[in-house]
Amino acid sequence: MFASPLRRMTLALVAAFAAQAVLPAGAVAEDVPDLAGIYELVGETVVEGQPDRFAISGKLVLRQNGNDCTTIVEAAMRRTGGASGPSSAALIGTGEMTLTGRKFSGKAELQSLVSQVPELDVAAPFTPRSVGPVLHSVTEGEVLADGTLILEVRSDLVGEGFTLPEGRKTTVKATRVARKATDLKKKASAP
Amino acid sequence: MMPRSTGRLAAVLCLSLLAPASAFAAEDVAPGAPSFKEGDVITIDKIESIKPFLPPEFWDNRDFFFYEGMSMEIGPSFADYSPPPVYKEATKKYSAQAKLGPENSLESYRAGQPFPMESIDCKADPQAGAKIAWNFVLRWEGFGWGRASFYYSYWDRGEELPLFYEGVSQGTSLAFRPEPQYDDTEGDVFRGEKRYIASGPTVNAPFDARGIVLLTYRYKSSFGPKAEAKNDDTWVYVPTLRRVRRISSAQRTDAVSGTDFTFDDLFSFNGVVPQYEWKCLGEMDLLAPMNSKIEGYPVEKDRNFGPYGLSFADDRWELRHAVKIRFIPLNADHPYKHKDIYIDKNSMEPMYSFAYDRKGELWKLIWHNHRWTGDPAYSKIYKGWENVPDPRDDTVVSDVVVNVQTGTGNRIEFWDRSLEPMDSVGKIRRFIDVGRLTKGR
Repeated sequence: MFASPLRRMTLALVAAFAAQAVLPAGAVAEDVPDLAGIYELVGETVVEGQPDRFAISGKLVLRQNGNDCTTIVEAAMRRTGGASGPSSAALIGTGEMTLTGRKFSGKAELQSLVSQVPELDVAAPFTPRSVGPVLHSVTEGEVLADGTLILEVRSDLVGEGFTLPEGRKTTVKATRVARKATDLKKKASAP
Repeated sequence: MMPRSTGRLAAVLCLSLLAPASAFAAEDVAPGAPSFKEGDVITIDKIESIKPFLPPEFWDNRDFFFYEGMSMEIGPSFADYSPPPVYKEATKKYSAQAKLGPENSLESYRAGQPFPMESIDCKADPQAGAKIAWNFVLRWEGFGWGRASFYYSYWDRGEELPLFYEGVSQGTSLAFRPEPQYDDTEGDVFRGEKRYIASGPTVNAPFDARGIVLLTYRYKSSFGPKAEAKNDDTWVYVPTLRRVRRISSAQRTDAVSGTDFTFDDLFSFNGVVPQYEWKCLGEMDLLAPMNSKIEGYPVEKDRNFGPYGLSFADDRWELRHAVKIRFIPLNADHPYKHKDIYIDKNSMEPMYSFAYDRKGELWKLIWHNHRWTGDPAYSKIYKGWENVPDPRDDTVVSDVVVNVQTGTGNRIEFWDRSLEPMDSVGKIRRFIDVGRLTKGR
């Protein structure tokens, strides 16, 4: 049956990159880092005791209003180790996040998508893709001195019929690459 | 959001190695007389003069499209790009029998424009949106894709990514033909045909994707309400597997990282009408690139698409009468909250569309360039056929999508697109044969 293999996505791999959190009582945002912009994501999901590894790449759009942020995630996961499930999946979604000093936490809702031909990359045009389960993700992280975001993500599935493996770990580094969508990438200057 | 088929997914997940278990106001725009005229050249310093004739959503994102050095030639206003007599005659003959059924389905359609545009009252008719959507889906587009070479590129804030797809797209209509030679079969190419269209691309490059072939059937029953509609069938030949996979998809609306187009974003809307609620939002006059004067891929591979690679500003633009419709997905899985589509009333070709995410923020902007078969260079590629001596088609030859949230986008070019039908029944039979996908491989 064709549908089976594509559904074998290791949902554990899936992560989220944003969240809403409760600002701890008494917390004061005296020095709020400027985080607004577009970030490139690089990360990995591993499962303890399993060979499966998935590289994560994509974009995070972060809008900021003081300590409160909203996020948009468009990411892809591609297998780099193991053999279960399709070779790639995509995640799209939105979330919210709250800063406490240089720490942040939040949550997001992410829709997973997989190519209906598991051997083909999700980015291949014209190939039908199917909607997979939705993930609720909780993120915690910090803002490094250079503005890079380091995120640790935990995800739960919405709805019955799925579980995620124990021992999964998703870590993502987000590097700001632009303030807004129309910021051109810098071109290499001619020699 | 719930998975569409939790039970099936659960069963499959059990096989996996990882922990298996269990209302709008009409908004007619009347900007007054334009300050430009045919023959004018609009450069970046004059761009304000065209603002009243662009969708506000487009103007708000103009930094992607208008740039220093651009040279927009103003072409004729309201040129006649209407379809050929064979389509117009079918509209006169059959439109009285076409009607909307349950869930915006279409009943008793035979050929031509199902609901003549001049009879639709956008403001007063609550079904105007659905009628226009059907007119759009069934617009005049010839009856085939004999050969369209495509180049699919990926862009990120002005940088072309090292990823592309190149190949040939083909297709054929199998029903609703208005030419007299199909009168005896009620418009079917093959008597009793259940399919409406068969189409699919063949990928020639890059090397690791070379030989991927797709074939999709869309069925006549997709015009009906959901309970009666048969899903599209798609077969995909994957060379590395040396086998054909069959896919049945209810909708092809997902967006993925790396590809900003959803499958149904092509031509602004390439989906199934009854899967949406439709509204007509108003009528207006708009400028758009409706008859390109500069060819692109595969003829001219170095055409200027501006600093973001996603602009048609450096071309001929024309003033057109347009209508704006909105779809609202009925399926909760759909990534869009709604999409607004601007359509040229004369040709029914897409001009612009704007997709909004589930939070209601503008997410994707889609627009198009066109070629008119009345132009001599294009008429050599897209020729007439039996009972259609002049195809009279203003054809989309490039789709661009811009993700205005991330600054990424895709451009698909197919400037040699011809929609004349395959010239023999034998060729059509071979094309729609799934066995073709593996032959010669």
